[in-house]
Amino acid sequence: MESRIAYIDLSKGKATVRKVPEGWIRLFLGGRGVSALLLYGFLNPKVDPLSPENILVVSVGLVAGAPLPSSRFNVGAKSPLTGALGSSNCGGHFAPELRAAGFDHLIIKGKSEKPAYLWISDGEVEVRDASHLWGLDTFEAQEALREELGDPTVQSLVIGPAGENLVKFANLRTGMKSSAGRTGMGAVMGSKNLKAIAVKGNLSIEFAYPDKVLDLCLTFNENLKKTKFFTVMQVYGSMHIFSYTNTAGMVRVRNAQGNQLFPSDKLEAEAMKPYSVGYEGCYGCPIHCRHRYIVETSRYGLIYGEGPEYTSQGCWGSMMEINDTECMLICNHLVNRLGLDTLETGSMIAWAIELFERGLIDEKTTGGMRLKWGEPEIVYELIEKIAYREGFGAVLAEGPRGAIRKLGAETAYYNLNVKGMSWIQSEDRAIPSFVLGASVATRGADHLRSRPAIDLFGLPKEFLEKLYGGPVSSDFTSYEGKELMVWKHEVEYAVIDSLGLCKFACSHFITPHSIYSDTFNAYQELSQLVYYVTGLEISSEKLQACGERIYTLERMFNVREGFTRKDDYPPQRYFEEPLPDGLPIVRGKKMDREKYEKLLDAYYELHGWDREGIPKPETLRRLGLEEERIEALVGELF
Amino acid sequence: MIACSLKKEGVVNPAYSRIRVVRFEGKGAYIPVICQQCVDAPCERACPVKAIKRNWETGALLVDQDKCVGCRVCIMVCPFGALSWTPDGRIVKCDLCDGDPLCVKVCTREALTYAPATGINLKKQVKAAEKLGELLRKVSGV
Repeated sequence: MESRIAYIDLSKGKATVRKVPEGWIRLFLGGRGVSALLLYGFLNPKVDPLSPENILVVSVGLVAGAPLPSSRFNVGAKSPLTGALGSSNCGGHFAPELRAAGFDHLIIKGKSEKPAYLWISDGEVEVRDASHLWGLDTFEAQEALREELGDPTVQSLVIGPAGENLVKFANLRTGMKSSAGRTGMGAVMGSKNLKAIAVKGNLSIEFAYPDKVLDLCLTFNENLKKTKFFTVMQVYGSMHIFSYTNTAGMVRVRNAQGNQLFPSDKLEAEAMKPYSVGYEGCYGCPIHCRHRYIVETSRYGLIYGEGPEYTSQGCWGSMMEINDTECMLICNHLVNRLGLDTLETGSMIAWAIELFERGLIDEKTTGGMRLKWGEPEIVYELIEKIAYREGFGAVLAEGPRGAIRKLGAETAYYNLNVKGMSWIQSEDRAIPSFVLGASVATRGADHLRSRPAIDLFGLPKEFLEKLYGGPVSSDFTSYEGKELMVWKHEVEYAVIDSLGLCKFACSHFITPHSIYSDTFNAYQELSQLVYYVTGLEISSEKLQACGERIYTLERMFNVREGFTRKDDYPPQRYFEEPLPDGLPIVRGKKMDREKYEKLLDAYYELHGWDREGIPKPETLRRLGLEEERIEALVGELF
Repeated sequence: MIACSLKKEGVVNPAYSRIRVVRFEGKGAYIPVICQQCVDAPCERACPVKAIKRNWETGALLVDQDKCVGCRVCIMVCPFGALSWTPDGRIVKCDLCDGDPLCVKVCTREALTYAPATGINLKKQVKAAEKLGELLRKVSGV
C-alpha cells in the first residue's frame, strides 16, 4: 500500500497529497519519528505556537493496522504549553481508519476563517464548515459527526471546549477514552479554528507479506498471553499499579507534600467493581485494559465513559486527598468531555490548593473560592472554570509557566514541572532512574519517554546487565547505571512510538516480559515485523539507530528553541524535602544534587551530546542529522 | 475481523471479513454478527444457480465462486446480514476455516468458541441439574 501524506492549508482551504518518501520510513519509521522530522523541517524557530504558522502533524505508526496492540498515532506541533516539542501519542481506532482512508500523515497549517472540520475518506480531503459543532463537548461532537455523515463507523479526532478556548493543556480526543493528551495539542488545533478530523476508510490496508504478518502477530499475541501481566491488565487495567505504589509511598499527596494516602480503598482498582460494566480494547489489541463504567446517580446525572487510568487515580484521588471513587469518575468524565489533559489539570489544581493553604494566594485571587484539600466540589468547579477560562480558571489554564508569571515567582517552588510541563502524579524522589527520565524527556516532565518501571522489581543484576548491556544496580534507590537504563528505554520507546505499538505490551515498560519470544532481542523481532509489513529491510542495529536518531532530533528541536542542560533538572523540591512516609526504603529519601549532576553527564555521553546537552557534530554525522541532510529529506516532499 | 480478512484475502479490511462485529460505541455494546450455518438455510434455497452448498464435514455453507453470478439474492434473504458483497465484487461468507476458525483463536476474551454440536447441550444440562438440586433441597428440606 502506498504511504501518502496530505498537506492541508486551512487558510486557503486546500489540500495537497504526496507520496511519503521511502527515505523517511527508513530513517524515521512513522508516527512519532516522522512527526519529529516534520516539526524540525517545517517550522521556523521561535514561531508562536498558537499562530497560523505552527503546524499540527498527525502521524500514523508504521505498523498500525496489524492484529497487534498497534493502533497508535502521534500528534505533534510546537507546544503552546512549553514552547518546546509538542508530541502526544494516542490509541483507539483512529489510526487504522486514517490509514484505510489512504493517509499515513497529515500536516495541517494556517487558520480557517470560520470553525471547520476535515472530512477524509478514501484518498480525498475536504475542509467543511463546523460552526454547528463549535461548543460541543468531545462526546457530543463525535456523535454529531456520525449523524451528519450518516455512518456510525466514522472515527473522529476532536477538541472540546477547552481546545476552543485555547487552554494551554487542552487535548485531542477520539472515542470515549483515547486522548492525545499532553503538551496542549488541543490548543493548537483550536487556534486553527479546527474542531475535528473525521475519517472513514474503505481501502484495504496492505502488507508486503500478509501471511507472515499474521503468523508473527499470532506468535506475539501468544507470547503476551503467557505473561502474568496480561491477566492483570485484562482485569484491572493500569489501575492495578496504584495499590503497589501507594503502599510503597510513591504517589503524590496534597500536591507534593506527602507520598502515601490512607485510607485509599476507594481509589484502588477493586473499587471500580460496582461501576464497571465491561472492558474495552483499542484496535487489534488482545488485552482490553480499559474499564467501561456507568455511574447512575451522580451530581451530573447518569454518567458513563471509559477509564480511568493510573494517572487519574492519583490526580483526582491522592493529589487532592480525596478517597472517593465517584469523585474520581466524575473528574474523569469532566476532563474527557471538556477535552483537558487529566494530568496537567490535576497538577494545576493541586498546586493552587497548596498555594491557598500556604497563604500565597487568597480569595481575592480565586474569585471568592476557598480552596481546601478533600473537597470534590471545589475540584469540579475548578475543572469547569479552567475549560471555559472563567475567573481563576483562566489563570490556571495558562499552565505552569503562565500561571507562575501571574501569581508571582514565590509560587514557583511549589509547582512541580520541568520545561513548563507538570510532573506525573507519582512521587519519584526516591527513584533516580525515574527522576532522570522525566527531567530530560524531550517534551517536559514526562514518564512516557523513558520510564523504566521494571527498575522497581529488584530484578537480578545478571538479568539487568544482559538487558541493558552494562552494569545496572538492582536497587531502585541507587544511581548506578541508571543513565544506561534511561537511555536504553528512551531509544526503545522512540522506536515503539514510531511503529505505533503500545508500550504496555511491546516494551520493557512495566514488565520484563512482553510480546517477544526472546526478551533480550526485541529489535530483532521488531525488525522482522517491519520487514513483513513494509518489505523494507531495516536491521536490528539500524532500528536502534532510528530510535537514537528520533530522540536526538527531538532534542535538536528543543535546543533550537533555547532548551539546554539548565532545563534538565527535576523541581527544586526534589532536592530539598525528604519524603515523609512510605516503606523504609523510600521514607526520608530525596534527590542528591551532586549525584544527579554526574548522572546527567553520563547520560549525555551515552547519547553523544556535550556537557550542555547539545548534540555533538560527530553524533549528528553518525545519525545523518546534519542540517543539509534534513533539508534534503524534507525537500523530497515537494 | 482484522485476522479474518488478513487470512482470507491478505489485506486488512473489514469489508472482506467473514465475521463482523457491530459496534455501538456510545452504548459500549459489541455484537458479533456471524453466519449461523442454518439447517434450512434461506441463502441456500434462494440461490438461483445453487452456488451455496453445505460441507457436511464441518457443517459450513460454502459459496462456489465459479457458479456464483453475483445476483446478491442471498444477502436479501439472510436474516442476519451474514453474507457480504466485497469491494471487488464477490459474495463471501464464513466457512468456519475448514473446522479450525482463526477468530476463535485470536479472541482472548473467549467471546467466541468453536464447539462440536454434540456437546452444546452440556452447559444446559449443568444448569438444569443445579436447579433440580435446589428444588430437591427445598422439597426434602435437607
